[in-house]
Amino acid sequence: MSSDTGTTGISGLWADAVRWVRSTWAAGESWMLDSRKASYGVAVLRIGFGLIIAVQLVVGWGDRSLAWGAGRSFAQGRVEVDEFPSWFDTFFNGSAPPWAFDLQYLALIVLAVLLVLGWRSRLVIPVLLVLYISLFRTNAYIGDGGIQLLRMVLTYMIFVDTSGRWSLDARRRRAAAAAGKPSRWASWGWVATLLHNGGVLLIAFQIFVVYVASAMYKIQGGMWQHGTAIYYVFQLDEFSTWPAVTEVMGRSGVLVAILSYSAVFVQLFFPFLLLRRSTRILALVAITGMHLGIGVLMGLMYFSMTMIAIDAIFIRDVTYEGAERRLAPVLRRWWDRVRRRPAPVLPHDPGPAVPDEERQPVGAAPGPRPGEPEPPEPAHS
Amino acid sequence: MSSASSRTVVQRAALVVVTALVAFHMFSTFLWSAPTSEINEKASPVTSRHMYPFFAQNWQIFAPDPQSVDLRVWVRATTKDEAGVETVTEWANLGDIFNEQVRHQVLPTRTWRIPVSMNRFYTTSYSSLEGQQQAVVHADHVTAEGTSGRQDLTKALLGTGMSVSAMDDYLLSEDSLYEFGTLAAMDLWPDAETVAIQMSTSTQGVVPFEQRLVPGIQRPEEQFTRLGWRDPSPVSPEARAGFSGVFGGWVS
Repeated sequence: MSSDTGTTGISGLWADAVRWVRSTWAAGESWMLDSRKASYGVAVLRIGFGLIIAVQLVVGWGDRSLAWGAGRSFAQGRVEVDEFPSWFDTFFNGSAPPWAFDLQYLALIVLAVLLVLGWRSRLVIPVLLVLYISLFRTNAYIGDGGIQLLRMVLTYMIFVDTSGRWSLDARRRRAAAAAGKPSRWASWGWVATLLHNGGVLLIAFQIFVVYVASAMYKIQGGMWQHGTAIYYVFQLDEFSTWPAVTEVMGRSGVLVAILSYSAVFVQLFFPFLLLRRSTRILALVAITGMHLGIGVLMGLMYFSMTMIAIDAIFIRDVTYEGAERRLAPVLRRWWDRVRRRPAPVLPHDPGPAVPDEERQPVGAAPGPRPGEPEPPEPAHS
Repeated sequence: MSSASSRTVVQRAALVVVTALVAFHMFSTFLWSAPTSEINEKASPVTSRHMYPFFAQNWQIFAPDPQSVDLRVWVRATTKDEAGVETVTEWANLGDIFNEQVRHQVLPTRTWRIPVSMNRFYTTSYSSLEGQQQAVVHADHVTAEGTSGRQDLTKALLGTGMSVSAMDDYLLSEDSLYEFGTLAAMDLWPDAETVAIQMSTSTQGVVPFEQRLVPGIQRPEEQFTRLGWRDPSPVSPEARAGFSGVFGGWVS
């Protein structure tokens, strides 16, 4: 065996490794800089968060003075020792008069509705976030993981272009583009794209941590191992929103075991199930069903809806576009009927605000699918 | 679509900075949510400062095992009528009153978890007390003939050798519990003046899974942590109005 072969083998390997690093780097650069990922998913997330905040505040209107107003004086001691910056006390201050509290409460509802509509989201999100934190920190006894999760994801959303689709912002941008008015920020678009994709990664990672960590803590517990955990949850006063239903469900040991095991497995394997389309559909359907069950039966609807809204970023843009194509004419006809206008002869497709270049879901395995553009070619130098 | 060769140095530098920040936050989130480890000990002085309080999170949801006891908060009061006759009321289960508001609600109001959270917060604080200190809080400390109930309580706690800061930490939870109870008592027994308050927390186990189909099976007995009598907490008229406007409607 000649030494040449060995050298060629090693240098060949070396060249392969260099090529691999280069193409991976180029793919990474392209992922972060060339298009805004999950553009429809983050729009659904924006709409969902707006609805969750608005609905719970409207539902809580009757209880607001005990929950967060002057009547929550029993919780004030904990506000004084928490570590949020003291300027958060400016809002929802317990010693403010009731009318001032009500105005701030209403302002928060209005901001949440603006978030749903996607009106000036870049400004609305930070203001909403500050008021949201201010409100919920005033009563630490009203806290659950959903409130924390919404707070963190809303923080990441500051960096994300959440109103690129299905929003008043998108409509305004389309109108400006049609009128030939270039955006003042056009040359900084790449910065917005970079921050957007960084934010999307943080949102995805955050929800993975929620699912995987909670599953890993669960598998240490005997009740989850023996498939009886759900029975115990159903027995508590705290989660007896529908006691007659949970009582009947709790009688069947098989049903309790199926529910307990699937809760653990679906959470534990969630990130990995997202990698392929077929398992992704399974994961999203199963986890959404789990959230809805928990939300309805245990009175944790806002927590559940928060999770469902975040999971929406894992549905691909092509899927949302397909849904839009099918639903848009229906909605338009309905809207025209509401406004008592004759339906147009041809359904008009509004089209996306910016050209689509990227239709990969977050976390999906690379590779073209029918109807999708090829992934960008690795750069060869 | 721009190709790799067309990227500027500024773009590449920004990409590296953003990626590094994203990676740092992911790493910090991971360490915060993971159990303690050697990595955690080394890195947490930096990562915990980054995470707290805005990114503080806890995902031990129903884990490692779901809680299998109900947590309740109870209140009773000594009331004085116009003739000056003092009466001790029945115990009222505040958890029941709050839970009742969300029965069969798909979109419940946020207030219903307050008693359970309060039990948890108080119990954590109570468990950190030593035996002698626990005896102090189980005893009555009400204002009588020249001695304030509050001073009586703090003197007794400090008398056990407790530090002032440890006492303040404890009193934060006790004061919160008694203020909640005081506000509730004023609505529960509105016809007489409230002159003293007594609080109790309790836990009650559920029927074990294996025995759930046994006919006539009863839940295990409820376990009470009954604290002593205290003066009613000082509450401002605004706080009273804000609490009563909601809770008063539930119990009237």
